[in-house]
Amino acid sequence: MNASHQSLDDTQWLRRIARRDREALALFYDRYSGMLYSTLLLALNNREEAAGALQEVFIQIWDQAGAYDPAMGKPFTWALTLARRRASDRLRRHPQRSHLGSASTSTWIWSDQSSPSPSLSPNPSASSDVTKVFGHEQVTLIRIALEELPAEQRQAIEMAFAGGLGQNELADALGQPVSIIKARIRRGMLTLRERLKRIL
Amino acid sequence: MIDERREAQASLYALGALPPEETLEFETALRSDLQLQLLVKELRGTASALVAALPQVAPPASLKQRILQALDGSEQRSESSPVAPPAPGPENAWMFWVPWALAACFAFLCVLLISLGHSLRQQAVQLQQDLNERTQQALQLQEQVNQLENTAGQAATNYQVRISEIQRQVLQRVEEINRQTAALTNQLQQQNAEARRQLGLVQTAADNLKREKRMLEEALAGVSNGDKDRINSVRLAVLRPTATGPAGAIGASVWSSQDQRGQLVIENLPPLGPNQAYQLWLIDPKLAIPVSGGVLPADNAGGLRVQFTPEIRMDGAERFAVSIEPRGGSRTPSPRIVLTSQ
Repeated sequence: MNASHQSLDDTQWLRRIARRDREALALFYDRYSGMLYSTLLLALNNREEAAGALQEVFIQIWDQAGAYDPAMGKPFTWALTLARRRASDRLRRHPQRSHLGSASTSTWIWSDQSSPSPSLSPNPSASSDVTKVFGHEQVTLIRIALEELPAEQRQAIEMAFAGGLGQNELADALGQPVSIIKARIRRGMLTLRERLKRIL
Repeated sequence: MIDERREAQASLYALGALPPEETLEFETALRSDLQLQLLVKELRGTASALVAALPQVAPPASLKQRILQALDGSEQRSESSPVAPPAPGPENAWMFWVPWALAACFAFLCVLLISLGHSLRQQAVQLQQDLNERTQQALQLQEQVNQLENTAGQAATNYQVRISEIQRQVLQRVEEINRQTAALTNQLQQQNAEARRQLGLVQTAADNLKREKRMLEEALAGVSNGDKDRINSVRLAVLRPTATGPAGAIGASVWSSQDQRGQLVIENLPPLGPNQAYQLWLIDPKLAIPVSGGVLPADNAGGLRVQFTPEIRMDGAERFAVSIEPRGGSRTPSPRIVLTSQ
């Protein structure tokens, strides 16, 4: 890694990737692959599937970095959107792989308890990658904000975020009308936005 | 202002949970609504922050290399390699050149199309960058508009506060003026009442003087013509109420030291109980104690007219007094003096 790359922000990295700068892509991978992979693994519940999806995501980043629109969010937000679309596509092809379709299995996601699946066991070095990006204090604040949400709001957001479930699938999984699900997600997301506005 | 329905759609959109049929309608609305774009941007940022709370798992160590190799493969696939043509036979030598000519034409066409495509792609990228910059500018303008609206709102609030302060000061001033007016009115009324009271006192004093004059005239009427030459030895005195005496009572006495007798006229003495009586006293400064002029027989109207003679000879009687004494009178006056002369 050279000094000029290290001082760049994410948007500048994407501009370099759009100009076919392989080193920029490698650095972008080093910084965000852990979080993207964790998201994909949580949704797909299979390491090979998650690795394959992550590869597709970075190929897509390589090909579409020029189409990145800063107005719609930060580069990581964009990359995360690509990753979650990949996960949704794969789950639509193999819905049996999802372990988040039932209400009883979703509340552990953002807790400190151990994972229900061996494939999702936390990795300390990967956790340190998160703190490099967000910082210890921000990670703590994010966890607190989530824990303080009402359980039904947090559950709906978890299943939508990590499970790749749409509002109708969420309604089926939780046994609630769609209007209730929409209201829970709206209230929960707006609350999180307010609580995290200072650090984002 | 974004309504709840749009907020719910934005939240689901940021989480990727909005169904396709709603996504199209939402994205159409999103393109023309800067506030909604800002909300979606923030909600997407919020959603991406949730990753920090996930259990983190590192990807396989070999994946990075695989991806970089896949990039190479992608680049190589994009560069199409020409296929070797078959060797021409001598009998159809002209046919040998037809495919080459077609290939050359095709290659030229491909080069042309690739060049055109490359140019269009560059233009698209440029347009996209321009669009991004314009969108960024629009967001900045929107932020400026919001700041200006906030500033204007703050200024309006300040003016309202100032107006409220002025109104409060005006009300305080009006109340102060009203208080001063009321105080002045009260003071004038008090001064007016005091003036009326003093006028009443003056009138009362004038009435008293008239009554005293009348009393003296009546007292003089009791003196015979033959005694008038003795008038120089006569002492006239007006008896007025003491501080503890009846306010409306008044009296006058005419005393002749030569004859050792006098005449006393009194009005408005209040009636006494059955065991009490008014008693007249003559005071000579040369004597140690006053000398009784007799018990006074007051009538029911509080008036009397009596002649009196002291118990002993009085050559220097200068003052007269009336006191309340036990029925039948006392040898010395009690402290209850009700009338006295000067």
